[in-house]
Amino acid sequence: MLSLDLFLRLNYLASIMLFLIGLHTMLTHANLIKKVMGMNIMETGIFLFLVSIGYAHGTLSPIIRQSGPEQGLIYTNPLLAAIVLTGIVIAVSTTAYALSIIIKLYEQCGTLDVDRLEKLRS
Amino acid sequence: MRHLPALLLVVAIAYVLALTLTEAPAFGGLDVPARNEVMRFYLDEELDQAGIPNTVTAIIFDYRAYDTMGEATVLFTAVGAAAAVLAGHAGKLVARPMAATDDVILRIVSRMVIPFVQVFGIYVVVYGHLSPGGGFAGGTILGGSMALYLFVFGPKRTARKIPPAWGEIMEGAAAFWYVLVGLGGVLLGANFLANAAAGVPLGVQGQLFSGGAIWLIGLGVGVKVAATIVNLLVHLAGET
Amino acid sequence: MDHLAVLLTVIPLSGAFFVPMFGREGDRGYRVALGTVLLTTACAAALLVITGRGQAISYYVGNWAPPWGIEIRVDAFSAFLSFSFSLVYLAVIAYSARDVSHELNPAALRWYWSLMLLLLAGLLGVSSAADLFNLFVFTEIYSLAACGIISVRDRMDSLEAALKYLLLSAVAAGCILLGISLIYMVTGHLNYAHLATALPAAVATSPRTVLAAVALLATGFGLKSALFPLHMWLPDAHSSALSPASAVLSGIAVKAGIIALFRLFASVLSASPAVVRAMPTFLAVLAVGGMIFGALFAMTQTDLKRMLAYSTVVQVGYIYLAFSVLNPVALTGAILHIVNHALLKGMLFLSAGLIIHRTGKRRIADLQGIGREMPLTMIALTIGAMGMVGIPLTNGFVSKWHMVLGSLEAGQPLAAGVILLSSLFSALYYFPLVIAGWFGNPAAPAPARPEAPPSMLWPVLGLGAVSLILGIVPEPVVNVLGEAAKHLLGQ
Repeated sequence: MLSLDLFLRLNYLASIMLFLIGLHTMLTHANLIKKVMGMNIMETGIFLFLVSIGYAHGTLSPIIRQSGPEQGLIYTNPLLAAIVLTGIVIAVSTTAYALSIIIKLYEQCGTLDVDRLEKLRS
Repeated sequence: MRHLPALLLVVAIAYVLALTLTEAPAFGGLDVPARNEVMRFYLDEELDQAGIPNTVTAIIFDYRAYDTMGEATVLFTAVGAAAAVLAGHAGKLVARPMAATDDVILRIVSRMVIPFVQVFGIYVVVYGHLSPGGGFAGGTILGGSMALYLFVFGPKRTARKIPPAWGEIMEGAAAFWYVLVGLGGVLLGANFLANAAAGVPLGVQGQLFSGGAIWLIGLGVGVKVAATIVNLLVHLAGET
Repeated sequence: MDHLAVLLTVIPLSGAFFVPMFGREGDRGYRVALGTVLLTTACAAALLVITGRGQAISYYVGNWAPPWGIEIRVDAFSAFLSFSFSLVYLAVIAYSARDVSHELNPAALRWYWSLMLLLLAGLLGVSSAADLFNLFVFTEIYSLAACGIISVRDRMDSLEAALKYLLLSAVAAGCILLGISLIYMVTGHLNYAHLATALPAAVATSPRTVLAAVALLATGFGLKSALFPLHMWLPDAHSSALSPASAVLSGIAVKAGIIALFRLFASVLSASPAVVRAMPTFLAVLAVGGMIFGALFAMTQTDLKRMLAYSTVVQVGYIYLAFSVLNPVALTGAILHIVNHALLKGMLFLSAGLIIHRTGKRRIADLQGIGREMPLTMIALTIGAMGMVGIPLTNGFVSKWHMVLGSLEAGQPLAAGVILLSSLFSALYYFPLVIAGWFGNPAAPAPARPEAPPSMLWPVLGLGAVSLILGIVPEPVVNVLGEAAKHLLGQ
């Protein structure tokens, strides 16, 4: 039962897996760059999830040609596309800023390893 | 030692979310809760109310323009934070400092490509309300052309072309442009960021100058995103 | 006049955009920041006058009514918080002018002003948001800006603390966004009022999804507000930042997560079935953990700023616990405690900054007899410490009194007991500091050092004066907040 339900929601499952892979990478890897990569994978998972919610079988992308009550049936959900766009921009900003801190830390300490940074500090 | 707790945590979250998903609305259904009157309204009425075919752009720059202002601000914050961190670092200890390439083919080809990329970027910005694209996508393409310039000709020459001070001023000015357009709505007697409700002429549907404030905001966002990408790359390359 | 609701966030945003344009030379950045915060304070004061009469402002950005557009909602609760946050900000900006300029290079200094204003804009945006996704966007603005003002300081520990904070708040942002998308999946709404009506039906069809979403949102905002055991980023971040930055981060920024969660609960979840409403009970357990373990950690600290940072973990616990009682009196206490803690912790971090600025001493053990060299600073530190412990006639007492009273009224003597016990613990780490500062004998006869310059001293003393006034005549504020609290709880 569980497996069939999940199979019908394969997109959701994939996005949750991406989210968790990203989270796991962030938690376990000592390398700062890999942590940032994990962060991006995690966020990609969420964006896939958002886009999947908005998709409906057989619908078109929401560039509409005429207004009217039947339009709501034949296009995908535009609100989620807008939300994903905002989310992507926020993710990019966070990544850029994280990388700039990492560059600076590398210049000061010569390492990208969290454990070694911890040792250098104490 | 941190592997086991992390794995346990991830497995626990996976279990909870898998349980959640078994009762979630099915993927791709036409009658899921998310496809409610809100979405219908956007699709049914948007062409009359905002006057542009691209509904996603209408949502970003009109219905939920306030969120997008916040989004532009997040970009601004990232540039500010990165610039503050990297201020005066000038690529001191980076293992391989970034320099101009000597490759003739690369230089000539990129010289040829960059104008076309920029024209395409401008096209995506100004036609964002009619076709897929918009300020963010187009701005990124514009910024990408300058990234190519930076990678091929080196940070020094890029800084001569676009002085970092200009980049920062552009950053602030383009972000403030968004606020100005919003205040325009207030001046016209409607609410902040109002478009058609404030009486901004929407123009003829499907033409380049249509959509009222959407077009103006899109232009500002395009400049803003291009400036952001250039600023971030220049700072990361270490020429400040 | 309704435009003030949106101007409250737009003014500090515009100020932040002005800094790189007009604030490039000399102390112009400072002037832009000061002018902006003054304007924001005036705007918040006007909003407080309007909403204090019991009428909330619902502002539709772009004239798009919800559920299609974004709603901004300013009631007495958010107006009061905005006003007091701007007031603390005013003191911090005035203080920063002298303290920060010699620590940062010109480019970093310029962006410091800009980031401070962005942080303020994000916090005010969070406290007036009435739309889930809008809340997320402003949460990200303030989180990024908060990391930014830690990392402007060019030191390894600040950079590392900022990165840790940034990565953890990225995880929190991921949790929040996933929670929002789960809620949207089952309801199709983002606006609070519409969510509140749509959610009971969604709980009936897919209860697990809603529960998971609420848990994710609580985790995300809990992480951002340093709820135990998700507080591990806070001590590093708040102790390694510049002192004025620590003051706003510890005094104001951690509260944003609490405010967001509480508004979400009061305006969305409280109409849902009991399963969902169990969230406060869960938060209360964690809050108690924070109050006890935070206090234990605070006692063992040797560094003044680290001790203050751990004390913030404890105070966050208080506020969460008082919220979770869900009683108007306790809620009054909680809102008042948000403000009191902002004033007191702001003042404490600024006084610590004054001491570090003049003497370079950071360790608590080195502060023996500092009151003789810097009596005014020490007076501010004493007011702050007394308020934190909750001695009568300080504002900390007023808020703790209401929390305890409310918990007893709601039939939760356990919560009241924990609040009293934790106050006792606070005495254990704040009193030695005060006693050593006034009566201790310095190890070496220190060279006679004057007080810090008046331009740095008066903001600190101003905060102290406001705290004292709030402690001695709390009635007007308590009355306004009591009404706001009843309104929030729908009573």
